[in-house]
Order: sequence, then C-alpha cells, then structure tokens
Amino acid sequence: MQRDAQITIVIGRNGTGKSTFCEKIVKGIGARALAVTYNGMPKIWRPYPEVDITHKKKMTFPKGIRQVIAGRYEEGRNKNRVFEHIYRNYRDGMIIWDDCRGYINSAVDDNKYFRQLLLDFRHRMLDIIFVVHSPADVPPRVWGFTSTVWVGATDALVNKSQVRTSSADRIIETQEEVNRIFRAAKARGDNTHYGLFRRVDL
Amino acid sequence: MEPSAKEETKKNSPVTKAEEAGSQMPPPEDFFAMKSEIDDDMRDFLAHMKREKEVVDVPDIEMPGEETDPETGESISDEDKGHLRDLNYTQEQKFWAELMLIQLDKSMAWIGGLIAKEDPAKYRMRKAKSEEDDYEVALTAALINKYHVKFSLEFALAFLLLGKYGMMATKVQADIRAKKKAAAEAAKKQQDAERRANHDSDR
Repeated sequence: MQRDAQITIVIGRNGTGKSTFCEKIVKGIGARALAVTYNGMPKIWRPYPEVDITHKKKMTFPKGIRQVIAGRYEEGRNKNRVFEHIYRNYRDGMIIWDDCRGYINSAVDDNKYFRQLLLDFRHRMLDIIFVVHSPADVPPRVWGFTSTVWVGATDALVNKSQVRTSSADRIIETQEEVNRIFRAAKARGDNTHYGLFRRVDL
Repeated sequence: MEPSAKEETKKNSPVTKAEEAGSQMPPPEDFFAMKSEIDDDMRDFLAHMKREKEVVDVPDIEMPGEETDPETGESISDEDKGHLRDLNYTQEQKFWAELMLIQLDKSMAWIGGLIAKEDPAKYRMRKAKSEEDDYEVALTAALINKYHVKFSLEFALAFLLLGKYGMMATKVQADIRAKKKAAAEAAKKQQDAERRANHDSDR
C-alpha cells in the first residue's frame, strides 16, 4: 500500500535530541535526505558531505544524508536561494529544515519557491521535516499541511493561537506531559531525558 | 516507589524515547538493532514512512523551475530563458537589424569624413552582406525582438535614402571644396602669368 509524502514537525528545546531524532528517522526508513541548517550547526550533520544544491546531477544521490548550509545561498535580507535550488533540483526524498526559524520567514508567501515547495511536496514526493524550538517557530501556514508532530520538551510557553491547527489542545497537553517526564528524567541525572518525543497525528 | 521517567513514558504510550542516552546511546547505524526497544509508536511511524510514496502525475503544464537544458540536465534560469526567447528572432527581424547596422555604419562614416574632410567611403566598416555568425546582427535582431520594434516600409525607405544621400552631401561638399581650390589655383596662375607679362613689357 502506498502513502503520500508528508510534512512532519519536530518540536523541542536545545538538548532534547531533535536532530538525532531526525537522523534516526532517515536511517530507519533508509531514505535519502537533505539536512538543511543555516550555518552547519548542530554538529551532528557535519560528518555528512555537503552537497551543491545548484547542480541537479549532484542532487541525484541514491541514499543517505547530504548537508546543506543555507547561509551560503543568502543574497541579502529576506532573500535566500536555498529554496529555489532545492525546489528546482530535488525530488523524491526527505528535507530536514533544522532549526528553521533562522532562515525560514514566518510569512511563507515571501519566498515563492518555499511556498511552492509546500504546495507541491506531494507531487515532488518530498517528505519534509521542520525542526523547531517551539510551536511558535513554525510558519503558521505550515500547520495546514502537517500530518505528524513529534513533541519534545520545550521551555517556551505555548499560546494556543500560535498552533494553527484544530489539534492545538492535544499538542499543548502532550507538551505538558513530555515536559513533566523530561524534568523528572533530567532530575535523575542519568541522561534518560535525551530523545523523549511523543507523537501527535493531526 | 516512584516510577522512573522511562517507565512513565512507556505507560503513557505512545511516547517515543531513545532507550539509552549520551555515551550509552548506540550509533544511528544500529537503529534497527534497538528495534525491540523502540516504542511502538515510533515503529509504526517508521513503518508508515517506509512505504512507497504515491507517484502523483504532475499536470502537463509548465511549473516554475521545471525546464532543464536537455544536454546538461541543468536548470535554465528565468534570465537565461529570456535571452533564449529574444535570440529566437525571425528572418524579418534579422533583415531590419542588418538595415539598421548599415545605416549606422554610413552615419559614422559620414561623421568621420566630415571631421577628417575626407571621402566618407574610406571609413565604412560594413560594406558586404553579413555572414551567418555575425554577432552584431544577431544581437541587434534579438533586441528588436525583445523590445518588439516595428518598422514601416516608408520609414525604411526614408532611412535608406537619408543614408545614401547623406553620403552624397559630403561628396558634394568635397567637390565644391575641390572646385574652389582649383579655381583659386587657376586664378593664381593667371595672376602670375599677367605679372610676368607686365614685367617683360617694362623691360
């Protein structure tokens, strides 16, 4: 049975293991993926080769993770061509927008290629993961396309109005629960707080 | 005894949690070795994500960024596409481009002749018909195509005649100068001859 490509959001404060979690997803499903960061942080992506997203042929790697540093494609305020190159040259794979608040504007329509990626991700067979610190970091329009949210511990106080989905209550409840477990685990000091994420399907 | 965070997570399934943390966490390559310990929810998610994705037929319309160079497979930017569109000019636009360049050449030659007081034909650069890979003609035709420049036949005829007789005007001026010079020389010769005659009669 086939499935549609989907958008996933991973939420969690620093040190919850968001990027490691995403890496495990990629490895777990044997996908090919672009791990996009603004400046090469976090360092978990550094062992992976950086790919030149401006060349279509270089984007046809069959499997594994390729690193993309979005800052290299910045051409001024609010103009980053990383979305254009990925839109033009990448299909049938996964994109991890790691800590995307740093380079993705909350107004999706500000960049036509990012907007088009959101509209066309199914046609282009692209699974997209947004990695953020809090629900407020997710561009509002993205909620409408999202299928799954993985909720980790966050310090941020979440306002229900920031979570633009009818499942906002479930996400906030889940966050409170994960926060509680996270605090207990951290207090124990045995590193079991790392990698705690709870799934909410929208 | 209070349940550990790990037990609490399991109890409140679906909660996914890496079983080990920090240095005890196995490398991601061994992800499936930990499979039995992974939370059911995560396993379900991975199973779902491992399924083949549905191939959705893209409508047969040009989407932004779809076009690629058939030889290199690289994408063609909007700017490149604009240049290619402009360079796809018609034979009529090429004819007008040649005409414009010839007239420009005549004008420049006329100005050169005027300054140097020489025959303008000496300064003509474009006399023969253009060759196949005449880049000046190609680019001029592309610009005519780009800006949708239209010429009427009347304008073209006036343009040609102006160019032709503009050159003639310079020649006329040169002829007048030559005649004046010749007349002045003839007059001088005559004066010299008369002066010599008077001088001989005085003797």
